[in-house]
Amino acid sequence: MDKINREDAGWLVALAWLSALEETARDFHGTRPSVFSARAYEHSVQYYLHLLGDEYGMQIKKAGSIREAVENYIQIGVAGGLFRDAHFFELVEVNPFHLGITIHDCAYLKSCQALIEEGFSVRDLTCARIGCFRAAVKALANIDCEYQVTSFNVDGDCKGFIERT
Amino acid sequence: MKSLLQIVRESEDTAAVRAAIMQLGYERREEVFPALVEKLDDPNPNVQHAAVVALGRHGRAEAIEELSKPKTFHSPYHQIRWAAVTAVGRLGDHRVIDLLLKAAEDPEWIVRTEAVAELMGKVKDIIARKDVRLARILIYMFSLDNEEIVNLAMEGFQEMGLPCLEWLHEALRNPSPNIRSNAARTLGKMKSMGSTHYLLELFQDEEASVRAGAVEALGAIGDKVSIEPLVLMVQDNVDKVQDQAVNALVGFGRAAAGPRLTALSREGDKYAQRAFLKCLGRIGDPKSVPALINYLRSSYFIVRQTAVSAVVRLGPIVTRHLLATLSFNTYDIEALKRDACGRDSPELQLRAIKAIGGLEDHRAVGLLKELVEEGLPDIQEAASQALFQIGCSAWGRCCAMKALGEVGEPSIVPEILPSLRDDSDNVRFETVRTLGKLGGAEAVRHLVRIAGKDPCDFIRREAVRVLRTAGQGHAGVLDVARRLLKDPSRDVRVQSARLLGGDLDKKSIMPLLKAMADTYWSVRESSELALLNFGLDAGGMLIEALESSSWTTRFRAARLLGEIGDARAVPPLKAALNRRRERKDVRQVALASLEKLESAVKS
Repeated sequence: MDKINREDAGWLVALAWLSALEETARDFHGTRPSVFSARAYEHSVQYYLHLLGDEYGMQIKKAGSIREAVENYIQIGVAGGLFRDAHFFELVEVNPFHLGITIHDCAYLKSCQALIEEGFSVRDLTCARIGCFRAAVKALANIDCEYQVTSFNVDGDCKGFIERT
Repeated sequence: MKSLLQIVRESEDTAAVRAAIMQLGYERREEVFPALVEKLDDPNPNVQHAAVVALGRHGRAEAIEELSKPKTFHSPYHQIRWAAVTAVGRLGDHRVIDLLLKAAEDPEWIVRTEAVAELMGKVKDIIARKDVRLARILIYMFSLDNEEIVNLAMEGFQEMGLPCLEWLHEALRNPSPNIRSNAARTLGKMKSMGSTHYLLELFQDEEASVRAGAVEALGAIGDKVSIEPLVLMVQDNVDKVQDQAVNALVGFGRAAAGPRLTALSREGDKYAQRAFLKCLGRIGDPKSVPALINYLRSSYFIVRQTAVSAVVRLGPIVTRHLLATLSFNTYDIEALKRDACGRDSPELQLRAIKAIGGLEDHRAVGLLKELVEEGLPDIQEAASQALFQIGCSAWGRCCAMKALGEVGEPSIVPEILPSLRDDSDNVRFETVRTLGKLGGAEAVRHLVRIAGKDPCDFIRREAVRVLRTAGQGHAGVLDVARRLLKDPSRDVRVQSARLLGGDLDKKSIMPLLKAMADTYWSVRESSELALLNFGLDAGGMLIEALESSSWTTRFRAARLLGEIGDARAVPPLKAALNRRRERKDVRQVALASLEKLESAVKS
């Protein structure tokens, strides 16, 4: 049996935990797991930011707007090895309270695809990516937002928005 | 020919030498062959290449020995390797297959493709000869990843039939997983009953592809001895194997329903449960309906979903069974709840909690949650257990409702209406969706009521959403949607705006204009889009809206007037443009709209 290298193993374990979390949310909340998932994403982002600070001494910049918070988080994510490149994301500020987000080639596409195949609608998707961006806005800018996926896997792109509540 | 040989041996003009070599390839004289072989050592790759091509054309099998030497067959130039493969394929019989198999792994795609094409020719040749001794060579083809060759080899075995079985059984122990897997699949295609026990041994193989191949084969053979082992393979942790096991079992049909149901009842792994349910759904045996319905209340989401899909596959025969599962306790449980709170008598308290759990009464959820937080350990445990029972029961009703939405007919609407009073939000939510799917005047009437009155905003939202399609042309739908533009939930307001935009009743224009000043962008945007659908009918009110005290209304009205192309809007837009203290955003959009209107007039 081939031994899996540690980097791949790390991603594998992270993916297993994320899938487990998403599935548990659906076990308990059915087709409306967003309240549970949104809270989980908040915890996840907060832990991640703390770990980067505590373990690696990274400075986490606070933000004054939704857009700035997401941009900071992407920057942190690239530095922290979470994202390969900032170009995987496109941000469009419709107004200061509404940010449109496009994600190219998302790492979580497969798990969302499985849900779509089971009959889920796009708006039922919890989207760990945009969900974590929303959590980052709360953590970095102290702005409480809601989010929604608006299109899924159109030529590999997913779209959604974050809007201030 | 002599002059050609002279050019080949003496000329220093590469192009001339190359042309001469090519020409010599068509000659059959004895002296040509050594001259061509000699040129395989030429330092110029163009000349080498020509020699390889010419040797292929010359047609002497002895050339294979020369062409297969590393200097040619593994030349650093892929054109030479390509030509060598073509030549060897043309000159040799089945004995060159080894060489071609190596070339099929060449790093250059064109060499690989050529090797595969030549291999196909050799395989066809072997099949045409129907010589069982050559069947062994076909086994080597199984090691390739090329599906076309593998399939051809399989067809060859099928054509040659039983005399080849020995080779195939031996191949099941080959070190190559590809060979083991494809040999197993071939036995399946041959429907070789005598191979069952050989294939069953492969269930322990460490390679998933081999296990999947064996499972596929046993499914194709259809020997009932393999049913029980196949049921066990549904528990394999690799999807591919599990899927093949499901396919195989489906092939056995109702004959194997018993073992599957037994296995399902013992199964704790959710993926295996899902596989068994898929299997039962595809077989469609009415006897499995109670078992399938039982899994609608699984605590695992993916199991519930699969059970719904499986039930739906059975079609309308399940409707009565599903309707029966929708019932919920409506008797007064206040006395039980009081006993469940009574800490003076712990035994009575415990019995009351268990009774509530047994009744699966959702109305006790709040109380039970409190007991889980604050009760003594045994009370906490009993309350948790009761909550589990109640929760699963609610999922059961929910999923039954979902399935009814797929298989039910409008005539069942009266029978599902009581579920709109279910204490579980999830059940009411799913009932709303199902009513939307079933449609009809009665369903719409209740959806309108729920849209306005349900305490849960997501249920009101869903009711409005389904009314967009189910409620078209029904009385009261537009009235409630206009009213719900003021609902406390923004999601309800968004859906209401969308609904009004789909049914162009002029009475909706003013409420939508007001909604364009909503505090939420999504509501404003949906209202604007809805008004866009009204076109020129909305023009007059939009012009008035340019005077609104809300800047966002002025902004969106100006934008809309440009979009709908109402020429009457030109003077008011100019006025807005010149208005003192008007916001920059409004001015910009007014200017853009004016430009649109003016260009429309010009064209």
